[in-house]
Amino acid sequence: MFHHTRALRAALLATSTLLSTPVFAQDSETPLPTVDVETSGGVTAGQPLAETALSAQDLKDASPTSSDTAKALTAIPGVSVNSGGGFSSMPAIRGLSEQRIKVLVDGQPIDAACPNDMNSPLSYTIPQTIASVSVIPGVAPVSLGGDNIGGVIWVSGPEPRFSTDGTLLLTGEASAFYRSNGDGFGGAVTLTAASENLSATYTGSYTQADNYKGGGKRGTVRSTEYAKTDHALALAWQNAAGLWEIKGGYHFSPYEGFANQWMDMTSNKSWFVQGRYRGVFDWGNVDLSASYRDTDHKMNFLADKLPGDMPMNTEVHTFTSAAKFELPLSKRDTVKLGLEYHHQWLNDYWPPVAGSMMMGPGTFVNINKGHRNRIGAYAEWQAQWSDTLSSVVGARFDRVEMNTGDVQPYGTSMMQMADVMAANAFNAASHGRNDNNWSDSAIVTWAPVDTLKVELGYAHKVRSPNIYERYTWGRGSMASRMIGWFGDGNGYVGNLALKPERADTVSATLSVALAEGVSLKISPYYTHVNDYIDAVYLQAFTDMMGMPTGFVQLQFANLDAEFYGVEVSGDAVLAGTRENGTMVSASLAWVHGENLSQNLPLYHQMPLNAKLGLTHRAGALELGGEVEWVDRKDRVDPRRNEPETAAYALVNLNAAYRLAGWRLSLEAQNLFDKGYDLPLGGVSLGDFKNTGTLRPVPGRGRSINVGLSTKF
Amino acid sequence: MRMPPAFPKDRGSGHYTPGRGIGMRSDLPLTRRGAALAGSMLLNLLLLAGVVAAMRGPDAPAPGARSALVTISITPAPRKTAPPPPVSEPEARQAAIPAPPMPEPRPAPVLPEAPGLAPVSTPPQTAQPPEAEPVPSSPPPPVLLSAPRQNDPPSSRIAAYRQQVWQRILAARPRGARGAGTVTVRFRIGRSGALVSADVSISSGQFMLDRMALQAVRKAAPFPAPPAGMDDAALTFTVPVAFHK
Repeated sequence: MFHHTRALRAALLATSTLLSTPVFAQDSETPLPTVDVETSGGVTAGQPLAETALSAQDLKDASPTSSDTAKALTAIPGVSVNSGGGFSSMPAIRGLSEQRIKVLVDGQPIDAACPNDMNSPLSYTIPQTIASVSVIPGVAPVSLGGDNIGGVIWVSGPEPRFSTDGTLLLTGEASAFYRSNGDGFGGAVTLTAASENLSATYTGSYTQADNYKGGGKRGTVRSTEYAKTDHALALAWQNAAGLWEIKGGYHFSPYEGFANQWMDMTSNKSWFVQGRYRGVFDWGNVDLSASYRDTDHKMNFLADKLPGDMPMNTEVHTFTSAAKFELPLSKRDTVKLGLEYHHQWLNDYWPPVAGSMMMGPGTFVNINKGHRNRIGAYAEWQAQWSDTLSSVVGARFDRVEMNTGDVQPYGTSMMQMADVMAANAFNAASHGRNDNNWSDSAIVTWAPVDTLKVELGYAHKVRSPNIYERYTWGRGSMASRMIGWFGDGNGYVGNLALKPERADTVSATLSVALAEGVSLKISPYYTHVNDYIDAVYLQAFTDMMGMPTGFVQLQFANLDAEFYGVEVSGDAVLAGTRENGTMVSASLAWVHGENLSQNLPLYHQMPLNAKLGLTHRAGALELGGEVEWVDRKDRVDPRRNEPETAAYALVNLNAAYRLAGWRLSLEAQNLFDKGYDLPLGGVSLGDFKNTGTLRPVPGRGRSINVGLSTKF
Repeated sequence: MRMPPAFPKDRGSGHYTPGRGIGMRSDLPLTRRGAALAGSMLLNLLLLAGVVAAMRGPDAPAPGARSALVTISITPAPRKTAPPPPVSEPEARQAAIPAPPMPEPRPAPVLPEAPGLAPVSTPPQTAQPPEAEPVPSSPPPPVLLSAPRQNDPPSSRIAAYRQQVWQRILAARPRGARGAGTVTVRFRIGRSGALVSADVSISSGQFMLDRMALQAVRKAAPFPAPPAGMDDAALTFTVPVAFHK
C-alpha cells in the first residue's frame, strides 16, 4: 500500500512537471498559519483614514428606507444631500456639492445630461445591487480622479466571482421592499453564474413610488413620484494574463417628479458598455478600461405641474478611457501612474410648442453640440515606511477643452427679446475654452501607539466649469429658470468668462480606541476655494403686474469661498461583540460655508446635525433605534431667497429577523410623523404651481417599511 | 417665509397650451409598462441563460479536476542563491538569512508550534525524536531573532525556519486590497532558499485577491536557506492569506 502511494506520488509529480502544474500530495506540505490582511482600518498607504466605506450589507439593510443611493450615503457623517427627485439626490461632502465631487461608478464617471442635474451619476445606481461605496473627502489621493475639488465617491458593483472548486457556481441575491408612505415598492436581483475562469453577473432592479406625504400636517408633497429600472450584465474571464471584463447595461426611468424644479423628468434612457483589463505582475499592476455611454433625457410636466407643455431634450454621449499602473519599486515604495481621457458630447434643445407665442415657432437651442474633453495624467508615490507610518504624495495635470456651436431662441418676437439679444451676444463671442489644471495631494498616516491613529492631509484641487455653467445663455425669465440644479426656482445664466475653481484643503483625522470596543473618530477640516463657481444677482423676476415674484435671475460667477467644520463619530460595544451584542453609536457633523467675496452665507449648507443609534443583535434578531437631530438653518443665502428651516428630531426604529437564508425587516421611519422641512430641499415648486403658495420642500412623514431579502 | 408670489408671467396658465399632458402615469397604461418591464427582464434572463449554457459547454473543466487557471509556475530564479554550505553549515545558513525587510516595531507574532489553520499534517521531522540527530559540538554562533540555534533539536530548527518563512510573507503581505476572502497559496522553496514555484491552491473566487496573495509570496522571496534536516517534500508550504474588511 505504501509503495502504491509512493508510486502514485511519483507519477503525480512527473505529470505535474510535464504540465507545469505542480500537484503535491497533501501530506508532504508544510502548512503555515494564516496571514491576516486588514483591508481597512490599518495604516496603509493609499487607504486614507479619511475614507469611509459602506459595505454591501450596510446598503442592503438601508434599502427598504430609500431607493436613492445618495441618501444612503448620509449615514456617513459629513455627507448630506441636496434633494432632487426620488432617486436623484445630489450628494454634498463637507459643504461641496455634487458638481464638485467626482462620482465614479465601476471606475467610470457619468456626466450630467440635464440642465437641472436630474440624472445625477448616482441615479443610475440602486443600493441593493451595489457591492460597496467609498467616500473620500477633499484630500483624496489624485490617483482617484481629477476635475473635482470636493472629493470622490467610488461606487462599485459586484466584483466578478469565480468558482473555486471546478463546479458551476450559481449564486445570487434577491430583495423586495414596500414603503407605506407614497406606496413605494421595488425589488432587485443579482445573479452570478461562474466557472473557474468565466463569470457572468446580472443585476436588475425596478422601483416606483407615488408622491410622499410630509410629516405632521404638511400633506402630500407634489411632484415626488418616480419609477425606474436598471439592468446590467457583466461578463468576466480570468486567465494567466489577467482579468478581462465587459459590462453593459440599460437604465430607463419613465417618470420622476422634481418637487423643487419647474420641470419634471418624463423619460431618461441610458445605455452603456464598458471593458476593463486588470493584470497583476511582478513588475506591477495594470488596469486598463474604456467605456461608452449614451443618454437620452426628456423633461416636461408630470400630472402635478399640468396644465402646460414644454418639451426639453438632452442627448449626451460620453467616452472614457484610462490606463493605470501601480509599480512597486521596493517593499516600501509604490508608484502609481495613470493616463485618463474623457469625452463628453452634449446637445440640449427645446422643441417648439404648437400654438404658443412664447415657445415657438422654432426650436430653442440651449446647447448646440457642446463638448468637454479632458485628458489627465497623474503620478503618485505611496510609501509604507513601517506598519505604523505611511504616506501618499501625488500630482496630476488635467487639460479640459470645451467648445460649442451657435445657439438660437424660440423665435424673434418682442416677447422673446431678452433671449434674442442674449443669443446674438453669445453667438458673437468665441466659445472655445481650454483649461490647464494642476492638482496635488499629500497624506500622512501615523499610529504612534496601538490605540491612536492620526492622519494629516493637504490637497490643491481644481475643477473646470461644466458645460451648463459655461454655455447656457438664455436671459428670458423662463429660459433662465430652466437652468440650475439648486432647487430654488431662480433663473441661472451661464458665463463664458468662468475660470476653473481652485481649492486648497487641509484636514486631519484622529482615530482613537478609547477602550476595548470603544472607538472615536474626529475629523476637522478647512477648505479655501479661489474662484468658487457661485452666482451673482442680475435681476428680480416680476409678474404681469410688475410685482416681484420672489424669484430672481442670477449668473454663474467666480467668487472666493471657505468651508470649515468637524465631524465626530464614535461607537461603543455595551454588551457582547459588534456582530452579536449591543452597540451604541453616535455622530455629529458641522460645516460652515462662507461666501468671502460678499461676506454672505453660502447656499445650501447643512446645519449642525447629529445621530444617536442603538443596535442590538442576538443571533438571528436585529433591533435598532435611532434619533436624528438637525439644527435650524438660519444661515441662508439671501441672494437666492433661500428659506430658513426649523430644527427637528426624527425617531426611527427597525427590527429584522433572519431565518433559513431569508431576512425580513420592518422599520418605522419618522415614527412620530414629525413635520419638518428639508434644510437642503429647496422650495416646493410642484406645490406652488397647484396652490400658489411657496413653501420649503417638506421632509417625509412616517413610513412603515417592510423589506425581504435572500441570498442563495 | 417669503411672500407667496403670483405665477411668474410666462408661467401663467393662459400662456400654455393645455391638455397635452405627457404624464407617463396617466397616459401609459399600466399593462404596457408592465409588459415592457417583463420583456426587458426576459431579454436579460435569456442573455444570462445563454451565457450559462455556453459556460457549461466544452469549456467547463472536468469535475474534480484541479484547474491550472491561476497557476504560475516559475523556474528557480537565480536571484540570490546562497552557495551550498561549504565547511561550517550553520554559519553558511546564518549568512543566507537576510535582515528583516522592514522594521517591525510591534512584537512579531510568534508562530505556534502546531499550525492553527489547515493542519493538514505536520512535517515528518517534527514527529522524530530529537535524539535522532547528532548535536553539533561547536559553540553556538550569535543568532538573529528566532534563527535556528545550532544546538537546538531539528524539530525546533524546522519550526524556527517555518517562522522565518511566515514572517517574510507577513512583511510582504498585500496592501491596498479591497474585499474579503481567503486564498491559499502553495509554494516550494529550493535548497538555496529561492522560490521554485508558487500557485494558488485554493482560490478565493476573486481574481485580485488571488493574485495579490500570490504576489505577496513572490515578493517575500528569496527565503533563507532551509535547514539541512528538512527533507525536500517538507519544502512545499501552504499559506492561507485571509483578507478582512
